[in-house]
Amino acid sequence: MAFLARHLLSLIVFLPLAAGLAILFIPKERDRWIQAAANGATLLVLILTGWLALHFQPQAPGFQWEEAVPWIGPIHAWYHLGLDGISLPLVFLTALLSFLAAVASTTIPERRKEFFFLYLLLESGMLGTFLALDLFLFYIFWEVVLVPMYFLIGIWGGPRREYAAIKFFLYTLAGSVFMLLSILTCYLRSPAHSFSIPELIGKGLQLGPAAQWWVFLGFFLAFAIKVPIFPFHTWLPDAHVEAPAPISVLLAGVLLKMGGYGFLRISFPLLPHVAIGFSLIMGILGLINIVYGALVAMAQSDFKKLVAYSSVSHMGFVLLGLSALNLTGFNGAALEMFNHGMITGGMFLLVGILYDRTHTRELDAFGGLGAKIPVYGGLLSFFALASLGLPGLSGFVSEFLALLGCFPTHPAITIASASGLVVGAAYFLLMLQRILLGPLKPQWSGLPDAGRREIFTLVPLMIFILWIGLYPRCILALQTPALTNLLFRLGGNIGW
Amino acid sequence: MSGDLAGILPEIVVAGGGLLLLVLPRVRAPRLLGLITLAFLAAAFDLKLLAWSARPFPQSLFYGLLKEDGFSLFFQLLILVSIGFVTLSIMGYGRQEVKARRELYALLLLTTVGLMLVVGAQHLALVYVGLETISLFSYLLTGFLKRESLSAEGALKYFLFGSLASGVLLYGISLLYGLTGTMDLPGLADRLTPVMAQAHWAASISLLFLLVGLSFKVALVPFHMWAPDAYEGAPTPVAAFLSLGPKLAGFALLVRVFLVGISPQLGLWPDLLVLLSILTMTVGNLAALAQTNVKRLLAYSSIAQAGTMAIGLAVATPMGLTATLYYLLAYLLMNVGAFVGVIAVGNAGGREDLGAFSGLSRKEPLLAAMIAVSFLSLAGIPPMAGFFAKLWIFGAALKANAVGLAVVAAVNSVVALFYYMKVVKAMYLDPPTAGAPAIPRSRSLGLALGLCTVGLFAVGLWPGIWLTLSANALPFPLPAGRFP
Repeated sequence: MAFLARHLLSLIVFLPLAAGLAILFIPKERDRWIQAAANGATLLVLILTGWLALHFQPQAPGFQWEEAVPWIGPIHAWYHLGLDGISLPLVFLTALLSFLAAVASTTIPERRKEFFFLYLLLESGMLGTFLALDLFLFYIFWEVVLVPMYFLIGIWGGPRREYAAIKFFLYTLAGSVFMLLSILTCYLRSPAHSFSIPELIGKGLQLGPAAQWWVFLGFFLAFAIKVPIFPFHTWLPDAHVEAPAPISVLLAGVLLKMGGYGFLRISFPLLPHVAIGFSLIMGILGLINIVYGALVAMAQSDFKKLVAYSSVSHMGFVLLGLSALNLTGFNGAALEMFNHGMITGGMFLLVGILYDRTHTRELDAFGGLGAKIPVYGGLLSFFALASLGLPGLSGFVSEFLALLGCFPTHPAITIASASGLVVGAAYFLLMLQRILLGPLKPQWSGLPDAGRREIFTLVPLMIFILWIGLYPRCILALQTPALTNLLFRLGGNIGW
Repeated sequence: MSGDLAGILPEIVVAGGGLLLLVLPRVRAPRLLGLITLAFLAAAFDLKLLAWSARPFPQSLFYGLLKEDGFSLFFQLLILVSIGFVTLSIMGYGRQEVKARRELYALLLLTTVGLMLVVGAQHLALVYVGLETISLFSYLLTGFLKRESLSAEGALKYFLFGSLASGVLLYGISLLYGLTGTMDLPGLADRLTPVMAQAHWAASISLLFLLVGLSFKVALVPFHMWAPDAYEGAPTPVAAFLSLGPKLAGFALLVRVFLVGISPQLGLWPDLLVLLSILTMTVGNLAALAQTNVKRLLAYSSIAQAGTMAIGLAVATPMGLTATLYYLLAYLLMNVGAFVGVIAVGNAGGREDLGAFSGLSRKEPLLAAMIAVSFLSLAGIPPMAGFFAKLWIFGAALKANAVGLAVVAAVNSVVALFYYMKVVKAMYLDPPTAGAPAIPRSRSLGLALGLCTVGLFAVGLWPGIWLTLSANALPFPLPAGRFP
C-alpha cells in the first residue's frame, strides 16, 4: 500500500492502459465483461482522483504527490509527475468525463474490444499530459493522445470520418513538431540542461529576445492548434462532427484543454517576457474566437456543428482570461476550461442521445420534442442555459471572471467580446426553440425519452455545474495559489 | 598474419557458409537452406559479440587496411541482424521459385562478407572493391526473378546507374591519389590540407566525385532514381535487403571517408551534404505521397529516411553522428517490420498495393497491429524507436545551430505522416475486400515481425541504453560532455 501511495499518480496514469491491455484478452463475445472492465477502470481512476482532490493542500508550495525517476540517463530526461492547483481540476475533469463517456459508449455498435483499448489508451495519454512535469515526458504523452484519437474518429466516426481523422492527426502533429523544436531549444539553451519544467523555470533560458519569441511561437503553434485558436480551428468542426458521441465528449471536454493548460504550465512561466508582450495578440485572438465562433455557430443547421463552434467561442474566453495577466483573468481562464469541459461534454452527450434515436442532426428536422420527451428537453435546456452563461450556473462565473480580469488590461477588446455573450444566448435559445418548441413532426411520435443510463451520465455533470455556479470558491480556492505563483513570475497583477 | 586472419574469422565463417550453400546438393526442404544461412549468421554474430567483449580495440589488421573498432563492430552487428531478418523473410516468402534456390542464400551470405569488410575499410582501394562486391551481388539479387520484366528492368536500371556511380567514385579516388599520393584514410587529411590550398578546384572535384559515388549507395536525391524501380521489381525480401545492406555500408563509408578521413574542416562537403539531405527528405516524401504500391512507397520512404539520417553527418558533430547511428538501429527494425508486412500481405494474393491491406485488422488483428507499429514508428510517433531517432537528429541540428535544417526536417516528418497513415488507414479503416484470400501462416515472418515490434518498443522505451551504445561506437574519442 505504501508503494502504491507513493506512486499514486503513476497508478492513475497507467491504470487505464493496463485495463485496456487486459480488455484485449477478453473474448469478443463477452461484451458485458468488456464494458464492465472499461467502466470499472475509469471509475477507479475517478475515485482515485477524487481522493486526490479531497486531500490536496492548496496552500502548500510546489507540487504534490511528486514522482521523479531518471529515465533517459544521457540526456537527463526524467520520468517526473506531479500535481498542483493548475492541473488538479483538469485531471479530475478528465477522470470524470472519461468515466461518463465510457458509460455512454454502450451505443458503440461494433469492434468494441478495439474501441475500449484505444479509449483507455487515450485516457492514459490525457492524464499523463496533465501530470507530466518533464517536457520530454509531456511531449510523449501529448503525442500518445493523437494515435488512439485518430483511430477512434477514423473507425467509429460518421460518413466523412477518414477525412476528419487524418486532418486532425496532421494538424496536431504539425503543431507538435514545432513544439518539439522549441522543447529542444529550451533544453540546449538552459544552464539547467534538463527537461524538467520546474528546473527550467527556476534557472531560466539563455536566449536573446528574438529567439525567445521564436521558441514561444513554436509552443504557441502546438497549443493554438489544440485550443483551437482562429485560424487554426478548421480541424475542429470536422473532428467533432464525425467523431462518435463519447469521443466528441473527450475531444471537446479534455483535448481542447491541453492547449490552454500548455500556456499556463509551459509557455507563460518559461518565457514570461514574451508572454507579457504577447498579451495584446492573445486578447485579439480571444476576441476573434469568441465573436467568430458565435457567429458561425449561429449559422449552423447541424446540431453537432453548432455545439462544436460554440466550443470555439467558449475557448475564446480562456484566451481572453490568459491575456489579462492578472489573477482574476487567470482564474477565469482556468475555471472556464473546467466548466467548458463539463458543459460541452454534457452537450455532446445530449447530441449523441438524440442522434441515436433519430439518426439525424438537422435542427430543422426536429420540433416540438419538448412535450414528447420532457426529461430530455429539461436536460437539454439546463445545459444550453449553462452554456450561454446563465447566472447561477458555472459557465457564467468563469466567463464573467475572464471578462472582468481582461477589462483593466484591454478594455476595448473586453467590450467587443461581451457581444459574444449576446450572440451565444441567441443561438442557444434558437437551438432550443427549433428542437423543443413548435409542432411535433409525425415521424417522432414514437420517440422514447432519455433512459436511466443516459440520465445517469448527465446528472453528475449537472451537480458540478450547479455547485460551481453557486459556490465557485470550491475550485477557485484550489487553483488560486498556483496561479498566484505564476503571476509572481510574470510580474502581473496578483490582486483580484 | 595469423592474428589478422583471426580478426576476420567471422567474415571467413560467413564466406564459408556462402560457398557451402553453393556446392550443397539439392535439398528437399527449402526451410533447411534458410536455417543453414541463419546458423552461419548466428555464428558470425556470436564471434563479433565475443570480439566486442574480449578484444581491446581499435585494432589494425592487414597492415592498416582494415580497422576493427567499436564503429565497425556496431555496423557489422547491425548488418548481421539485418541479413538475419532478410533470411527470415525469404523463408516466409510465398514464391517457391525464390525461396527454394540455394543461390539466393549463397549470394546473400557473400554480400554480407562484402558489407562486413567494407565498414572497417581504411584504404580507398578497399572502399572501392568492397562497394563493387556489394553492388554486383545486389544487381544479381534484384534481377533474381529473371523471367519477370519488372525484375529485369529494375536490375538493369540499378546496374546502369550503379556502374556510372562506381566509375565516378573510382575517378574521384584516382584524382585524390594523384593529388595526395596516398590512398590510406588515416593521414589523408594531413596530406590533403596543403593540396586544398594549392589545387583547390582539383581537390574539390575529387571530393565531390567521392561524395556522389557514396550518395548513390545510400540513394540520396538526386542519385536515387534507381531505387523505386529496383525495389518494385526485386523480390520483396531482396527489396528489404536493398533498403538495409547497401545503406548501412554507405553510411559507414561516408563516416569513414568524410567525417574521419577527410575531416569536416576540409572542403565544402558538409554544406553539400546539408543540401543533399534537404533535397532527399523533401523529394522522397513528396514522391511517396502519390504512391499506391506499398513497395514503391517504402522505396521513397527509405529515401526520405536516409535524408534525415544524413543530417547527423552533415552537422558533423559527435552528437549528430550518435543520432545517425541510433537512427540506423531504429530504421533497421521499423523498415524490416514494414517489408515483412508487405511480404505477409503479398503472400495471400500476390498483390502489394494499398488495396491488399484493406481491412487487415479485422482478418488478422495481431499482424495488422505489428505492421501498424512499424509504420507509426517510421512516421516518428512516440514511444516507438523512430520517434527518438528523429528527436536526436533534430537536437543535433539545433545544437549545431542549423535551425533551418531542423525546421525542414520537422515539416517533412509531418508530410511523411500522411503516406504512412495511408497504409494504417487501409488496414484499420477500410472494410476488407470481399473474397480476398486468407493470409497463409508463416512462422518465420511472425518471428521477424514480432522481434521488430518488441525491438521498436525496447529501443524506444529505454532509449538511454541504445544512445550510450551508439555514442560508444563513434569512430573518434568523445569530447567531454558529449551531450549538452
